[in-house]
Amino acid sequence: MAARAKRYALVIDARKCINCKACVVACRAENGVPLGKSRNWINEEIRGEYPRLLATFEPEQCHHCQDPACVRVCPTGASRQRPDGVVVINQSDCVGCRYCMIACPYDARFFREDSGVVEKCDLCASRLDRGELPACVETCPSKLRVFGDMNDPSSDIAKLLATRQYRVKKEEAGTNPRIFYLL
Amino acid sequence: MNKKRTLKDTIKLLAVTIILALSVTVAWSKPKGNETKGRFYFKQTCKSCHAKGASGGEITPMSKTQAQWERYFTAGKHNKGTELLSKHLKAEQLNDAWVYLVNHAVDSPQPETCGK
Amino acid sequence: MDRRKFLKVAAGGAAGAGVATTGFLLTTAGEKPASVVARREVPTTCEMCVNKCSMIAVVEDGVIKKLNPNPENPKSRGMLCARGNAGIQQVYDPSRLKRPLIRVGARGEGKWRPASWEEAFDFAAQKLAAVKEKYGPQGSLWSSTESFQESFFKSLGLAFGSPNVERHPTLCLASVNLAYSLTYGTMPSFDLQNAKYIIISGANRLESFITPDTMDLIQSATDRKARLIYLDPRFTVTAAKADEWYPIKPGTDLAFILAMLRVIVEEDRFDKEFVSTYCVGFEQLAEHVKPFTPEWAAFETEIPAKEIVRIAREFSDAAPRAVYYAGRRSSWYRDDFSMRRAQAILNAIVGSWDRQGGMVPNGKVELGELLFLPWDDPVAPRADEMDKNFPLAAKGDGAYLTLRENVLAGTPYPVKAWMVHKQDPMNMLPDQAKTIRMIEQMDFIGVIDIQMSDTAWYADVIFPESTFLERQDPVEILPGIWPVVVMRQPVIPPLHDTKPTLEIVQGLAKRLNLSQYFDYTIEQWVHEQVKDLPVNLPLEHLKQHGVYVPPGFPKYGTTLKPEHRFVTKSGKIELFSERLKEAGYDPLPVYQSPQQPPAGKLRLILGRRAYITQANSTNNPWLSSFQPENDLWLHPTVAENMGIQDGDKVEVSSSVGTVRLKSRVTQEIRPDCVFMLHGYGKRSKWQRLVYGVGAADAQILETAWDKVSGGAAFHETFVKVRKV
Repeated sequence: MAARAKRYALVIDARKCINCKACVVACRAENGVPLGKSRNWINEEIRGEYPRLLATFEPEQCHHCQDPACVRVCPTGASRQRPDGVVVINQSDCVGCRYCMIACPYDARFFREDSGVVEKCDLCASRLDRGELPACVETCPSKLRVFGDMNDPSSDIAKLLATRQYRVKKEEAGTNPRIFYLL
Repeated sequence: MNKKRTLKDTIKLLAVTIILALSVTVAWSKPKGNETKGRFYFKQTCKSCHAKGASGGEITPMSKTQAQWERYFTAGKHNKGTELLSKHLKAEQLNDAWVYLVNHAVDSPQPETCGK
Repeated sequence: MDRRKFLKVAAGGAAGAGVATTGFLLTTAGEKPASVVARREVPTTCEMCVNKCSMIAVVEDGVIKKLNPNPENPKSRGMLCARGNAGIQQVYDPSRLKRPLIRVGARGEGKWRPASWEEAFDFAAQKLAAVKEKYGPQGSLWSSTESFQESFFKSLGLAFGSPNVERHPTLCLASVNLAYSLTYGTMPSFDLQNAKYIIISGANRLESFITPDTMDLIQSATDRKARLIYLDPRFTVTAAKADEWYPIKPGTDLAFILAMLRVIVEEDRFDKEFVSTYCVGFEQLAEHVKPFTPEWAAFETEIPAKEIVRIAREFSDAAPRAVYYAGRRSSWYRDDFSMRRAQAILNAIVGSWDRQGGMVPNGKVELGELLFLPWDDPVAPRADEMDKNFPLAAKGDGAYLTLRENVLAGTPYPVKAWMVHKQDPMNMLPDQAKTIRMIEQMDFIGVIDIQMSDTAWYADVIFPESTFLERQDPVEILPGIWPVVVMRQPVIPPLHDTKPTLEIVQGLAKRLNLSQYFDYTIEQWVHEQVKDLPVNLPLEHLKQHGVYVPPGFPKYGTTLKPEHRFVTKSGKIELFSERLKEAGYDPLPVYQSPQQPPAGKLRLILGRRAYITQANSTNNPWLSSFQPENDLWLHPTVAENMGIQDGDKVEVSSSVGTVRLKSRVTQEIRPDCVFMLHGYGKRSKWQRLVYGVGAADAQILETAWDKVSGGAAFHETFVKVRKV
């Protein structure tokens, strides 16, 4: 294998989302997320007037930005970016100052009262290390998330990014997010 | 339209009443055979030669119509008429198998259900 | 090979993962360097709803940590829904049933004392014997909902001598199954993966999951593989994803289908060769549909005539890759059967049968069985009088609502003992007050369940069953276009003093002198089932994979031979049904314009959410968090007239009851309907998340049933709404 660095990312085809919450519960189970908090969520919008209605559902979680604001503001280095691009929080270094929560343009982080630390999506880092897909990616009935190494041109995600149009959220925040929503 | 419907309903009601009257007299009388046991005898005895790929060729309740099963058991012959059915099952057991096979024949009403 | 791995070599090359590939039952080292975790992966089968999806349970140090989808099952594929993922909570729910309980207070008072299994068995057996002595074995009722061990429970009722084994289909699919059975001799599956044109009446498939239909529909709808036409008074997720959504006037779907039939017949758009080779009764059908012009249907349905004509043409153009999808819902109206029959007929005349993209008869796998000389058939007739009331319906299933009427009336004989297996009639049946009266007139009620349902709350004795992650079940065939055999094996030993149903049945059988019919272990049972499966070491295969996938499916065209005999009276697909005519019903679907709500009233309609299974998962904290309380959907103009604002508390009343819940003023519903979710407003205090929270639809739904199948008709209730 080439020594080229991996860059994990997510492509999301939100049109396929049926707001079924499988990803939210899978994440809760996999990561022991306490009730009332969530590492991933689905933005829901219903527009129009009866009988001309439109509904959009948009799954979201940490965007694993290339230039993560959370990492920049973290005073202890607990928030860091792995070489494969996954932004993680080392819980033993987190002092619970919550600067990162303010810095995150996506409101993707929450504070855990029970442990006094901040938490968020880490793309199921321990699953990745076992060679498994993140829980949300795997469990989805629509298979609307495509996860992979965007630096590997043979990967599904790289192919999608090369051939399809996409958008990112809050580009203006300048964090270079790595969730790409297909248009 | 309305009038027709009413008449039809009356006929239906009549029919139901007749069936009801009949059922009161026959409801508690013993049926000809025991379907649940019939299924067992069919599986245990008949299927030993009539399973898929077995020597006698596959036979299921759906191999015949209700009328064909009735005729088959009335005749009481087996193996292309060369031997008596009673060689394989006792009279009571035959009655059980008879009821089972007629009730599950290919033209019997056997609506599908949810799960088992 | 580990079927769930996405990378051949994991990042960091975790050594432990490699070991796991030799088998799922092996213990492998985990990732944490400091403390070694004993990690196992056990493939098994979900029981959070009726789909039976394959899953792989991850167990660490004896605790179930995660349920992952098992991609080897072609029906559930690699998906696990919210409910499946929340299955863990069923095991670790602090308020689950943990030991046998015997009632000490009044019924419904919720006072219990723990009992040993011996005591609970003795207690129930004594009561059952007393009822048998006084009223005969037919004085007992055995009701159950579909599960892998349901047959053991049913067998106990039958062996006891009771004809009153009452299953759930008349609260479920009875009208659909009967309509297709009487037309095709079978209930087929729908090849949504290959269909190009799909019409759905009300089956909200993207919120009420059926595998693989839901996943196929998502792909079809969003990849523009198929055109999806959806009729529903409510804007559901399925409506949102459909190409066309029509908020049809409730109860008029049959008018829409009849007009489609007319267009297709008049314009010569039917499949002549298919119809002449495989169907009977086309001439009568052609004559029958003549009056049903699109203009007439437009008036009935509120769908414009030109759209009906266009849809009929597009549908027949796309055939045989075109289906009017049956869905999987309970009955709605008193003539529900006719509406389902019309769908079946429409699919037939365009030839969408046993071909890619059409309806496909279910593929079958054969299992063995443990043979033993069974009991005598019960002598008494059924208390629900199926022969008289619904002569064509599936007799062994019964008809729940006529049963309840008869039990309350004491005809044809008294029924005084009620054994309930994993069913919650208190919430499943309309008119809860009536169900309570039925409960009150029982001398004895015993319930087998995993949680304190509202029905268990009224029981005399409760037998706690082990959850699906704690027990071995018989293996089960999931029929379909891709038939499979699935295995449910224990992931962990039972956490509490619970038993699987077979052992509960055996405990009772022993005391009722019926042991000879239950003289086997679950292992012997499963062995007989699987021993002849055409795969090397079948049992081991199922234990390791959780699923057996027979080769050669999907199969198309097995019935498309002119000599093929359909399992109908004529041996053909019956457009016109002699059998219906003989039984006194309309041999072709006859439309009656539905009654409309009188001024000041609204029609109550029901439906689903993807994270709620009927009435039984609203107390699961991971699921209830998405919808802690149900509310009443109300159209803004109606709400305004009544002075109701979004979130106001409202009182909803029908002729049988009154409930209070919050309003949800929304554009997503027709102005003449209101909607509420099922499974809230529980009476059982052990259902702590939904006890007295929101409202139970069962309290206001009125009793009505489909005339042919006996299926409970759930959309026949008009309610009055007012702000409180």
